[in-house]
Amino acid sequence: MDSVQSTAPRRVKVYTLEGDKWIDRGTGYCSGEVDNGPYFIVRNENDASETLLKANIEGSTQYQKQQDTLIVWTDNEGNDYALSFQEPEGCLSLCEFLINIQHNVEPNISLVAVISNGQDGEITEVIAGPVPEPCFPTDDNLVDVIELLNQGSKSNKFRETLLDFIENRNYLNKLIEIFERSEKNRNLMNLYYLCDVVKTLVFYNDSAILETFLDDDVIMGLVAILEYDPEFPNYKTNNREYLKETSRFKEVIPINDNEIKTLIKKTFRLQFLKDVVLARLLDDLTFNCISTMIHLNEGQILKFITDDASFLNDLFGLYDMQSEATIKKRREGIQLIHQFVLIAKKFQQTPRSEFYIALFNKGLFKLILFAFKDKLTDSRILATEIIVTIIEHDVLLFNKLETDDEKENEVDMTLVTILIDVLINDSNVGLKTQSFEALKVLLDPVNIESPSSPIGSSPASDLNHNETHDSISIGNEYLQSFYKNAALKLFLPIIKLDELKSDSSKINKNITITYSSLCELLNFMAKEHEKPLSRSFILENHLLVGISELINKSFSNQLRLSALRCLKSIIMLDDEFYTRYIIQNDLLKDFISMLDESNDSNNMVNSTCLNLLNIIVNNDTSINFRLLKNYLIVNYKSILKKNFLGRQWILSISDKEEEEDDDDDDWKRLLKS
Amino acid sequence: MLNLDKIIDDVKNCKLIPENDIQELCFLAQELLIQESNIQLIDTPVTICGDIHGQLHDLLRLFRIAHDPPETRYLFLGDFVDRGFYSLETFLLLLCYKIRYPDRIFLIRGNHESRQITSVYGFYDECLRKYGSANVWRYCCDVFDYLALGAFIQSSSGNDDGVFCVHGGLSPAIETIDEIRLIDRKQEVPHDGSMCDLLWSDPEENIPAWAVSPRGAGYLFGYSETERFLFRNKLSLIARAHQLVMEGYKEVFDGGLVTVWSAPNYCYRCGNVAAVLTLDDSLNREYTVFESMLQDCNEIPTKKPVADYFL
Repeated sequence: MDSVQSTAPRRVKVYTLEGDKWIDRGTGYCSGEVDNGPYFIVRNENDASETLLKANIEGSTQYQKQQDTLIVWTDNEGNDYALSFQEPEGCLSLCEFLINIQHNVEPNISLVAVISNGQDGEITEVIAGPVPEPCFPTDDNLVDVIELLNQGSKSNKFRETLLDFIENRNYLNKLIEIFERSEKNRNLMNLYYLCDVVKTLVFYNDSAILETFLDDDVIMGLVAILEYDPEFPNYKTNNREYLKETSRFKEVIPINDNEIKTLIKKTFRLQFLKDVVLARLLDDLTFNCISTMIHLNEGQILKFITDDASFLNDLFGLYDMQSEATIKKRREGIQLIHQFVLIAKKFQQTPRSEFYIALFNKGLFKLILFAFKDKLTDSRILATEIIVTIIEHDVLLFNKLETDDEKENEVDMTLVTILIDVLINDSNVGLKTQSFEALKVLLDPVNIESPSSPIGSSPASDLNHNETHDSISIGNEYLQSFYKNAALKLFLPIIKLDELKSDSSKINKNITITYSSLCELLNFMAKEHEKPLSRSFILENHLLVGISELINKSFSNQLRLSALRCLKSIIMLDDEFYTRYIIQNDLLKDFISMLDESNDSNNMVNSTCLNLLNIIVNNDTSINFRLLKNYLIVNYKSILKKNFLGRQWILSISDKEEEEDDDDDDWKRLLKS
Repeated sequence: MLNLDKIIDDVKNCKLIPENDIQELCFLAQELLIQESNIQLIDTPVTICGDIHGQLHDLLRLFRIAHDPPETRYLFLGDFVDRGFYSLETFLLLLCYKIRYPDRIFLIRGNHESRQITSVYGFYDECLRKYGSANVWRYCCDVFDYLALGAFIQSSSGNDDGVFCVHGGLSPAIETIDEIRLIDRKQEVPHDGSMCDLLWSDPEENIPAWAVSPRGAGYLFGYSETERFLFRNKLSLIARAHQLVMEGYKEVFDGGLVTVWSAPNYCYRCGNVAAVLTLDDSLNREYTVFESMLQDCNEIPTKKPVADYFL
C-alpha cells in the first residue's frame, strides 16, 4: 500500500445523478488518497474544510473515463457520480491513481475508456481491471487461451501464475499433447491456434518463460508447433527435421560436466530459435532478450573451457605426434576452436584475454602448425582466421609464444614466415587475403608497442604484466627482426619482377592479388614504421622501381591502380629522400602514360590518375611537391597538356609567368635549378 | 569457367554457391566496375530501384513486375545487403546480372556497402553462418570498394535537364558533378568528406541549407541547396534512396528530389509498400508500387541455420 502516492488536488465539478438528471454538487479540488483504504475526496474550493465528496474506491466498481475530462462511476449502493475536470491533465492524473490502486490495492476495480467512434457508437477499452487466471489448454478452448494470454500479458501477477503453470503444472506439455492429437487428426485450425499460443508466449519477452522452452522434453514439441504458422498457410517449415539431426552436435572432446553439457545444448537451441524459427517474428526487444540469454550462457561456457583442468589439454593433445586421433577429429578440433575464438571476440577484455591466454598456454600452436600442413584448404582458412582474430586482440600473445624456447635476443618469425609463404605461394584467394590482413595486424606498431596492452591492463592476468613495461623495446626488436629476417622474403616477388615480366603468360589473377597485397603492405610499412627502418629497406632494395613498373600496361588494371595508390601514399609522406628517389629514377613515367591512355575514358583508372595529379598540383606548401611539379613539367609538359587538369595547371603557371614578366627561358632555367 | 545461368538459378533458389565461384564472380565484377566512372552515365529508359536490404524474394518479385534484365535497364541505388536474411543471395544475383548484361544493369554504392556497417547489421554474420568463415564476406566487400558512387541519366535527345542519382544525397564539398570525378573511390567508405556525404546525407524540408545529420555521418540538406545544385548542374531531378518511405516513394522540394524505397514490408514487419521509378526517353517519371507477396516465394523467408555446432 505504501507504493501508492496521493495525488495533487485538481479542480473539478462534482455531479450526482438524480433520476435522469445530473445535479451540480459544487466545485472543488479533488485528490486521490489512501488511509485505511483508497478514496476520492473533493474539498470545496471556497472552504477547504468542507468536503463535497468522499467516495471509497472498493469492490468491483467500474470507473469510466469519458472524453478527456470526465470520470463516471456507480458505487456499491447504486449511486451515480461524475467528476468533471477543468483540465485533461487533472483527469489523467486521477486515472493513473486508479490504475495504481487497481494494480496494488483493489485488484477488482476496473477503469475503462469510453471512446466515441464518430457516429453514434461507443467503444469501451479496458485500461486496468481484474486479471483473469491463465487457464489450461484443451482441444476446444484455444481461442480463449490466446485471449487470456493477451489480456494477462501486462500483469505481473498473471505472468507469475503462468510461469508457475509452465514450470510446475505441465502447461507446455499439455499444449504439445493437443498438438500431437491435432496433427494426427489434421485439425488445421487448432494447429494454427497453437502456433499463435506459442508466439504469444514468446512475445511475453520474459527470459524465465523462454528458458522453459529449452528443456529436452518440450523443445521438439514447441518448434513443431511453430511449423504451422497461420501467416503462411501454404507452407510448413521443417524445424523438427533440423533439430533432430544429432550429427550437428560434434563432441570433439567428451565433457564430463553435465551442467555445461546441458547449457551448451540449450544455447544451441536458443540460437536456433533466434536465427531460424523465430527470425522473422522477433521485434527488437525479444531479439535482444534472446541475444542476452545466449551471451550469458556463452560466457559460462567460455569460462568452463578456460578453467577446466583437462579440456584444452585433451583437445590440443590431438595434435601431438604420438596422438592416434583421426584426421577428421583433428579437423573438427580446428572448427571447435574457431567457433569459440569468434565467440570470445564478443566478450570484454578480461574474459577474452583469459580465454586466449589459456589457448596459448595449453598448446594452440600445435593446432595451428597442423592446420597449415593440412591439405584441406578449409583447415588453413580457419587457422588463419583464428590467428587474425587473436592478434587483432593482442599481437603480444604471439610474440610471447614465439620467444619461448627460442634463441635469446632474436625474435622468432615462425608465424610471420608461415603467413608470408601463404600470401605468396598459396593459390587460394581467401587464404591470401586473410594472410595479408594478419600480416598487416602483426606489423602494426600500434599493436606491438602499445604500452597499455589490453592484457597487461587486466589485473586478472599476470602473464604479460611485466612485459608491458618493455613493450616498446619489444616492438622495436620485433620490427628489426622482421626487417632483418622476413621482409626480403615478403618482397622477393617485387625484387624479382623482371622474371615475371619476361614471361607474361604467368600474369594471372593470383599475381594480381599477391602483388596488390604487397603494394598495400609496402605503403603501410612506409607510413607506419619508423622511417630509418622502413625507408632504408625500401630504397636499398629498389622496391619503388618495382612498384612503378607494376603500373605498366602489361598488368591488370586492379594491380596497376594498387601500385599507383602505393606511389601516391609514398608521395604524400612528403619525404625528401623518397621524393628525390622518385625524380631521379623517373618513377612517374608509367603514371603519366596511364593518365594519357585514360584521358578519353571517364573510369576508375582515369579518376585515380586525376586524383594523384590533383594532389600534386594543388600542394604548394612543400619543397618536395615543388620538386615533383618541376619534374613533371620538364619531362611531361606536352602529355600533360592533353589532359584537362594538366592543361589548367600549365595555363595557371603561364599566367603567373606573365605576371612576373619572366620569359620562357628564365622560367625553364628556374625549374632546372 | 563460371556457368552464370546455373548460378543465377541456384541463387534464386537460395542454394549455397561454392566459395570459389563467388570469389571468381567478385573478381570478374571488379574488372568490370573498374571501367565505370564515379558517376556513371546511363541511357534512358531506365528503372531506378532503392534499398533492397537482403530481401531476395521481394527483389525477385520486383524483377517479375518490372521485367528481368536485359528486357529492362536497371539502376540500383545501393544498400543491397544487411537487415534481410538473404543479403548474400541478393548481392550475388545483382552481380551475376551485372556480369551477364553489363549495359543493362547498374549498381551504385550505398552506405551499407561497407566493411564496418555490414559487420554490425547482418551481412557479416550471414556469411559466417552460411560458410563457416568470413572469406565470402571479404570478397564481397572488395567489390563494394569498386562500385560507382552515383549515376547521371540523360534524356535520349540530350536536350532536357538530366537526373542525378545517388544513394544518400548532396555534400557541402561538392558544387558540380564533375568534381566527383577527382575522387579515388576504391576505399572503405570514409567517416567524412564528399564520398561519405554522397552515401549518407538526407534531404530535410524544414531547413534552408545544411545541418548536422542525426545519423552521425553526412548532412541534412534543404530546399535552397537542392535548388542550387539542380540549377548549377542542369538537372531536373535528384533520385536517391536511403530512407524508408511507407508509400514506396516520396517527392519533395517541388518535385526536385525523390526518395525511392524498394524493400516492401522492410525487415519483414514494417508494413510499407515499395516502389521503383521508371524514366522514359523524355525523363517522364512513372512510379510502380508493389507489396511484399509471400505467395511468390517457394519458402518462408528465414535465416539459414548454422552449418555445425561444436562442443
